[in-house]
Amino acid sequence: MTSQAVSSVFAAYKLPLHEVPKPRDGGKSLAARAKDAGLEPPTVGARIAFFGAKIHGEFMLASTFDAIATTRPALPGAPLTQSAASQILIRDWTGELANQILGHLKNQSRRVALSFETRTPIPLSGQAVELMTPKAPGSQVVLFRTGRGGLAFCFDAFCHTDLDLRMAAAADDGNDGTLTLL
Amino acid sequence: MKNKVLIVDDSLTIRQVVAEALEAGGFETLDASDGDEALLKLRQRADISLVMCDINMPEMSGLDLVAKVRRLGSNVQFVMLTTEGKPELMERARGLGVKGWMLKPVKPHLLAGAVRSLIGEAPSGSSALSSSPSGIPGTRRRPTPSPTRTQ
Repeated sequence: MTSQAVSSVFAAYKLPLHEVPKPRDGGKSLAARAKDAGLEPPTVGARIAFFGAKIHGEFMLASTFDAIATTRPALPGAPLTQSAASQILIRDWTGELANQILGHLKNQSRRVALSFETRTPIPLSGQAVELMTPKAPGSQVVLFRTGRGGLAFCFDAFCHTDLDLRMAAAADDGNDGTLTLL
Repeated sequence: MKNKVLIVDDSLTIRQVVAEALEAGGFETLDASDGDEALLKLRQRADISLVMCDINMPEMSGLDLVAKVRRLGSNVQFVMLTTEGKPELMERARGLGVKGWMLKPVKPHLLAGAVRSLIGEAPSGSSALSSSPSGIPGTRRRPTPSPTRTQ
């Protein structure tokens, strides 16, 4: 389910993703898992808490400046560099990307009668990214390689009942970006 | 005179992307990073034709902003631009007179046409959209809920 939501959102930003096999997890941080899979160490990230009657936890995204910058829609002005101003823009965009992916997960989850609310994203950089570590026993970690760096995602969910989250994954209905008249 | 659109989103990138697309489509834009700033701009400017607004924002949600604006007596048009697809939220939005709902990720090439279709078909100050034209690119009708069955 996580993999499908990530792919949907990144397809909109035209960054091809190649899922890489997950290393055996030992409760390690996302940064350590990325390293074990041969990906670059993540330097930017975001986490978003979610909560519902049947589920709670956090969604995490960890990646590199270049990979995130590649997905940021092109805008007039100077290209993004490693400057402080660009770092602020990338942190903002990382939070928004995480928000959009979790939004997809939330909408998919309704297909299995699973409802949850989300908090606003917390963008992270530096050591805070290195420390991002899944806590739930059944957390779903997915890793991707791109031409511009690696991406690590985690749907770190504590389920209060038996839920098969895989059932929620389904093809998008193609309504992203279109106007629905109410 | 260009129609003015207020963009309300806590993400700077989204505000920039939407502004860029709408300005290229002939609109003038203003932006606000939260509900309080949006209220201030709506009070200062009576000539805003439409508000394009996120839902999940810190402090005040987009729908709470719409409710406050309505309590202040304004019928300015709203389109929600969000990751939320919950039918209950769409129903609440409809009840508040929100015209449209767009799911992120944003498709910049569809934005100006969508806004133009709303501003063009309903003059500022009107309420529910009762007769939208069909065939507007990037526009769809909200599916009609199934009738409730009684046992």
